[in-house]
Amino acid sequence: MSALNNPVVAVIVSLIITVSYFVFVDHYLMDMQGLDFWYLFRN
Amino acid sequence: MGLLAGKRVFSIMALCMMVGLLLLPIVVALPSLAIGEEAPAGDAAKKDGDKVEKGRDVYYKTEGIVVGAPAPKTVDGPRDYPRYNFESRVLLWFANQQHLYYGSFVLAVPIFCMIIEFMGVVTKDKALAKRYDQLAYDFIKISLTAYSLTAILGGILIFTFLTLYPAFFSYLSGIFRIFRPVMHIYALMFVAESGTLYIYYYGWDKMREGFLKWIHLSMSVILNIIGTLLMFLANSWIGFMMSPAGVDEQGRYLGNIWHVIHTALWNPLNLHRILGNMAFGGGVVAAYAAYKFLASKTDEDRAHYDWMGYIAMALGVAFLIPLPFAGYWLMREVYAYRQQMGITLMGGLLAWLFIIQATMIGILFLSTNYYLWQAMGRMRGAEKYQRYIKYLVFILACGYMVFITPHTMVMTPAELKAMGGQQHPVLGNYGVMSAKNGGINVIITTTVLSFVWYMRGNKVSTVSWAKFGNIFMGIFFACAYFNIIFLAVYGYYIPANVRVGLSVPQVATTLSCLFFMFALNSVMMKGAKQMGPIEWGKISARSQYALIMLATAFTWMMGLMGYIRSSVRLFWHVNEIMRDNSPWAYTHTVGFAANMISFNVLFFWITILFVFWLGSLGAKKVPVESKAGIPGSIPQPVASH
Amino acid sequence: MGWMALAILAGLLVYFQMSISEPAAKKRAVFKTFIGIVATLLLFMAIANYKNNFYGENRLLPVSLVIITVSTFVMALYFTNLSALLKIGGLMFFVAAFLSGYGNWLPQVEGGFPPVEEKKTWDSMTPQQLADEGEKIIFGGVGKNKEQGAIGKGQCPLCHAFHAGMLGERAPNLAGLPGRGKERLEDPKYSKGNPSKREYEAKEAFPGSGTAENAQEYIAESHACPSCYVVAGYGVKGTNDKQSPMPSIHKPPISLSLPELAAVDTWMYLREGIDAPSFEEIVKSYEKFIPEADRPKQADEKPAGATSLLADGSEPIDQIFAKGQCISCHTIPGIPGAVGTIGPKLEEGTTAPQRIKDPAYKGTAKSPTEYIMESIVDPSAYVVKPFPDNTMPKIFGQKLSAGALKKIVDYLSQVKTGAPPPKI
Repeated sequence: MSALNNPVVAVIVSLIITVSYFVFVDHYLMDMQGLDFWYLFRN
Repeated sequence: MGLLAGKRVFSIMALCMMVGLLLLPIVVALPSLAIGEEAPAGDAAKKDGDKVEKGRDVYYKTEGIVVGAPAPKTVDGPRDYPRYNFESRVLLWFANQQHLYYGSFVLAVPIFCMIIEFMGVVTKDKALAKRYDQLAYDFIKISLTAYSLTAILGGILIFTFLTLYPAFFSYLSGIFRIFRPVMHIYALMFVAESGTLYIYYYGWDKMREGFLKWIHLSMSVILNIIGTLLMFLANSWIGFMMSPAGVDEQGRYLGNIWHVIHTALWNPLNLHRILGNMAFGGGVVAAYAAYKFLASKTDEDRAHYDWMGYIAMALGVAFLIPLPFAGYWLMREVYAYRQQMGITLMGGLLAWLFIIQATMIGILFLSTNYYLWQAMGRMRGAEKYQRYIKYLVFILACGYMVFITPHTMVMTPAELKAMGGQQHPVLGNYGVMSAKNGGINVIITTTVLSFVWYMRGNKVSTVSWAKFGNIFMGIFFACAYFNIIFLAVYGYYIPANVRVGLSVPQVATTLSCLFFMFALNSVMMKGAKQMGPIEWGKISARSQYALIMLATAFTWMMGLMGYIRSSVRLFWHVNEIMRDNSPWAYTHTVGFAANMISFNVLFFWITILFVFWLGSLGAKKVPVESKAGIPGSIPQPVASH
Repeated sequence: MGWMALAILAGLLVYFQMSISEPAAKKRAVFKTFIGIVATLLLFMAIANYKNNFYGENRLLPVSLVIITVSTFVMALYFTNLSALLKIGGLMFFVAAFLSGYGNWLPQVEGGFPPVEEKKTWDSMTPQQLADEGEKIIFGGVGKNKEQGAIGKGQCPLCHAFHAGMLGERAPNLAGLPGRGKERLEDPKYSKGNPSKREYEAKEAFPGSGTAENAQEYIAESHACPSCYVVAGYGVKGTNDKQSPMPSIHKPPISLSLPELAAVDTWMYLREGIDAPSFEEIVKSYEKFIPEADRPKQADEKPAGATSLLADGSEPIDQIFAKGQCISCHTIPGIPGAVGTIGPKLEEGTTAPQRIKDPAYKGTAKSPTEYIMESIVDPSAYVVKPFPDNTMPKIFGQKLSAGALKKIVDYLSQVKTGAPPPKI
């Protein structure tokens, strides 16, 4: 746990978790409606 | 020992009685239900050989034997629409709305009682348990006075219906057999509700400890089951009026009462109304607490009522947050039932009312945030968050302004010319749904952030990973904001018909913040070091006005949404079955509706403030009487620390 | 009733003056009663305003609430024992006033009255009943055919005259039509039996429909396909009578169903004292010219059916122009189908200010928008040269809702000569 309390490590770890979480949420929920991040470029 | 056993027997008997009361309406109604279903068979058998008329259910499309008479075709005149020298519809509107306000209040408060009493029973802290118990008791005391008013208003409502809309009411109320069994059950339920309420209230002291307390708690569960069923039945009427089922095209009852009750919009309405009632009840109780806070002379009282206001507000907001999603479900069902109805609501005649609703939602969230910020004033150690509040205000203001920017408006030519088109060159872009969704989600997320700050205000986490936790929360919120805004902007670049899909991940982001951050925060704050106690009562008077604002705005919004729901039927009493042929079949202007809602809201608050005031008069006398009688039979207000 | 309350308060004032001996207490009591009187006055003013304006259009109701807010706060300042209650009340009134004011500030739309319920069993009607229905469709009521400006769902009198001697500027006078039908069939231009020879914009009502064989079929064809044969002099100007300005009345926005058309025709026969063909025959004549897909359905039409208004203001502007039949006579830039030439081209953004300044202008309008409104509601107030007076119906003031009129005025005032038309 002590490594996690290093601010730099903490920021990196949280960023990885959060960003991947939101990307997953966005992707999955957009996919359900026939949408995705690249919709704009495909059409 | 004998006394205790006696008490125990007595309380179990009371509980059984309540269960009996709960079952009574159903048992009594069974024969009438059976008659409702068998009578046609009997008639049919008798008339065998004569033609048996069959009808097709307008919604379920099942065939059934025609039992009831068709919906009457009314004509404008004193027979179908007797009137005073006044618009009948407005009178009915008034009576209905007042009954509804009081009704939802007395239905919501026992649910609060149940929750708070339960919290009191399970909490380990004895002093806190006692305070919770006292609070629940205070709640039920308030609702008791309002309860009798509800009954009186219900009577007035029926009277208004009978005198002003006899043809319509008689169609609904069972001459044509449609709702007769339902109305029987309803009346009996009401009796049962009163019975349980009084037993619950007067049994409070006798059932304070141990096992008896659990029985008392289960009484509150039964009380709430009855209350909820009562509301479901009432909802079945408005559901029937909006989306009739169980009758044929001419409105003739086809013998299946379940079809009549279980219409297309019944369940969405039930859910929406329960949540709405709870949020409304929270608002009223919070306003009561605010009133007592402002009127109290001692610090002890102030502390108690400050705490009460906080709990009521928190419960109210807790039910407010899921409300939009229930509303979304209701709207989706409305569109599924009749697209035209949905269009009338969202894009047609009633669209401006939804602009008002958007404003009100914003006001509700702004007041909530303001209250939370003020509430940090009663904690030592919350100062560290105070200086960030100005940034939250900025975010909220931005979100709110985007949220209420309309897309197209009716304008004068001069304005049009000045603006250079129907849409403002810059602001018009913020008025589209994509930006609005972003706006409201930013507002809700900020509210969640305020709540998190409030909850950790006087605490410092002692868990080993506290630093990581804090950074994680910060980054999570930052990413959530970024994600919401990214999706809102992305929405501009893709076609409108697919853009709506983006609201789902936006909402998911907001909800993730709500659940994960609350959970994480409570884990982090477990056994946290307290910088200082929460000094209940040390809150600014302004915060209490925020509570009152919340309550008033909520009451107003309830009136508004009720008006929208009711007027979407346009000129139908029962949608597509029974026409409104009175001179008041048109839809009022937005301004008139707003004035009428204001009038209803103010009337409700004036009467309920009067009820509160009466209650305070009674409370002053009570201690004297109780000392004269059995000491301790009526609980004294428990002083908080 | 209000005076009684005031009298009681004044009585209290006098009573305090008499009964309280201590000067300080006396002063306080008198002062408080005085405040009470002021507050009561304000309260009654507010109530009176609320009552008077309850159905009013001037949107001043929230002012009442503001007055009450002020009076409660004033009272809260001086009646300390009730202060909390009064302040709470004041805040609530303020919130309500704000929301009420907001609601009144927004554009006001009033939902029109519902369509009149019509569940008719057409085929079992006597010819007279059928004719009555027809008269209702044309003129809006039985016996209204001689009334100036009477108009029904069919909107026929907007263009057609129905009585001998009446001016028929825009469309043929329909008096004597049943007899005239036969003559028209013999007109070489009609090219009976040989639709391909026709010189008109439309050759046939629909491919394969053929031409009319008798008078009733001629009427039916004229309704179903106005441009199949145009009476000389009544075509759209500039098309050399090849195209008719008449809309297809079985299509939206008028959407008359076949039985309704039959009712209209029955009235046309009966009022001339001629026996009408049977209901079935008339419907059959229409079925010849209106293909199955184009026939308006009775059931569909019910919710959208007829109101006494031509347009209630909830429609988009182009539909208002279509429903009001403005487009039959006027050219309106930016409105599809509005290419009429019977009245002036409507570029009011440019022309309205000029016309107000015209010395011949005798109307009362002071601004272009007022001028446009006046021209719609009272067309004879100023007649644009060289168009004749009394051509435009004078009924639009009653037949268009305030909202529809406002939309029309808003739109027209933005149309300028030489500039691109405003967006719809």
